[in-house]
Amino acid sequence: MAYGIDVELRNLTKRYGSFAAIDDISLRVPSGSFATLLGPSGSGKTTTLNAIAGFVTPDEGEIRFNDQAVSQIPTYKRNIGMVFQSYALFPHLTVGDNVAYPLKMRDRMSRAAVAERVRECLAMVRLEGYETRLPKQLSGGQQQRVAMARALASRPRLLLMDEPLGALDRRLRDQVQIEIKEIQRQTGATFIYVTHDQTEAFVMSDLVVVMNDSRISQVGTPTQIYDEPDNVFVANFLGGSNLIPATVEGVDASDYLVALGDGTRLAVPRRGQSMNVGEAAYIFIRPEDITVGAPTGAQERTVDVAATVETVDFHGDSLRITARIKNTSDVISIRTGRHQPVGGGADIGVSWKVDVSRLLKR
Amino acid sequence: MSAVLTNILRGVNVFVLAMLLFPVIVVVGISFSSASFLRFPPPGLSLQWYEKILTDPSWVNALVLTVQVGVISVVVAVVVSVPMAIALVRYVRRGRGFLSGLLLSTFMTPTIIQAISIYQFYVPLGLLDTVYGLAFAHAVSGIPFVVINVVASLGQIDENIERAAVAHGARPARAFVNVTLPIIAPSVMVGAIFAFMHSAHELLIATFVLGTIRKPISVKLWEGVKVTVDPTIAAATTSVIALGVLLLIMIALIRRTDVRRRAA
Repeated sequence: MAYGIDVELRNLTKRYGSFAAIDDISLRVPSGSFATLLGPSGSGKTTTLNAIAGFVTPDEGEIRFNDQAVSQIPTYKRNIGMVFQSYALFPHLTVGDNVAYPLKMRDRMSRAAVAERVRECLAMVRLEGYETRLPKQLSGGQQQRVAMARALASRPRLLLMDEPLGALDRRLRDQVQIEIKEIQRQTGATFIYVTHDQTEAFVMSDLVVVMNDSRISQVGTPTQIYDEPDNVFVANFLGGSNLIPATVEGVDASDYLVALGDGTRLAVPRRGQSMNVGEAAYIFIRPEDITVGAPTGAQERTVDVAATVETVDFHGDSLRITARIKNTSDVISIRTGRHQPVGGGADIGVSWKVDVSRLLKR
Repeated sequence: MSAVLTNILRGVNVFVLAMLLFPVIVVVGISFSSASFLRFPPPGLSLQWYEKILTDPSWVNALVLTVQVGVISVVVAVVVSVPMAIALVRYVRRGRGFLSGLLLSTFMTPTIIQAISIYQFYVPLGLLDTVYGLAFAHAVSGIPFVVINVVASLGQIDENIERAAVAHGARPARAFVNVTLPIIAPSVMVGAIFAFMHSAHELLIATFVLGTIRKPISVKLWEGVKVTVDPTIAAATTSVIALGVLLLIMIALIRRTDVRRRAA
């Protein structure tokens, strides 16, 4: 599907006074892919999206659509579709006129063709027959769909979405996420989506761009971002994570040898950032990758650590155990099956496969 | 709260309302009087005073003049105020409070001061004793009415709505006309009505700028009270009140449809 366009950001910077809202952002979103800008509020994701739309003029760097610089092209000529968090429907126009608006502005279509396209777009968002309603007569979820239909109406090759599901409740959001992904597949357009919700980013994206402090922290597929965070921010921002302080003591062909606070030595695979001997680091492990049980000792490429259980919390589908590593003040959290028979104060052995852990710069 | 206190409050409310409405009731009552002098309650009912207003060219001229001045001043006020309100809401970052204060200062300055300064200002410009002169003067005091209403309405608009139009292919000017203007139109209307009523009631500036030559309703009423005391004045006053009530009803209707449209 060559329908979407390639979007490239080259060293984009936007300053407001002395504050850089985005600072040297470079990114390439391949044609037809679904990219999500993910980050806490104030991380620069909306500014980035607005720069792509043309609402924000970057101070440095450039934006290219299909290898053409668009700096001189005003927003209304960029041929984009856009969905806003507040939906931004035209309150005085009917649903049909809202959806027809981009067609009237951009395409010279006959009245019948416009009506047909409006019908098509409303069908795509499952709002057949809503043409004559006013936006205020619709529920939040329906308004969101109208905003989608309007954005898609003139078949833009780039669709920008700024937290479009932020105002919907959880259940509706889950459902609409899948629909949006499906629409993206059908149209083949490039989608750039802004959210602070990691689940949303994981469910829909081909490419997740994690942003923090006006910069890009990491770019990758959802699994890369989740399993192989490049830095402490990404590790913490996405899901639960354990960051156990350790010091690098040695390096061999495949692993770093690191020491915990109590001197326990263990191996962490060499991946991502390179570290020097003597450097302070964190061992990163997801709570669900840690198993509770007697030391396995003999097993290949497994780490065993002795710990004392501090708390056990019931989460319905799982238990969250926090345990302190023996002879240290480092607490790890563990997510296990709900039938794990442990209680507070118990001494346990915990273990994880070397390959699921990662060493991050402290 | 005790029932006694509630009743006392209710009594006070009724009293204040009666105080406020009493002169209006008297004037309206006298305007339908069959007697040829001011007397309340009227001895009998008649429409003779309204007939007199409508057949007396000086009253008809006054009415026409008031409408002329009002319409011109409202058009000028709207043309100046809408861009001003947009600038205040969207582009002025520093000094917005100061500018709004300056705008409201016309409410604070005594009208007599305004009248004298406008008079002096107009003499060299040759605007004295002209319909346009009075209309411009009234436009100046009408501007805050429109600006305040439009600023309030613009403040409630999601600025992404205009952006949505631009993102989907509309030039910024077109987006404004297509989207923002229809949304703020009811507030512009309400502001314009207030400005018109202000112009129709205004006496001092009208006396200074135009009153010696041609007399709008407000000046004619004032002179009428000074010279002849017959129910014609009451009939004219009642007409002005009726116009005000009519315009107020219009405002209420505009607001109601506006609220209905906005409610999501």
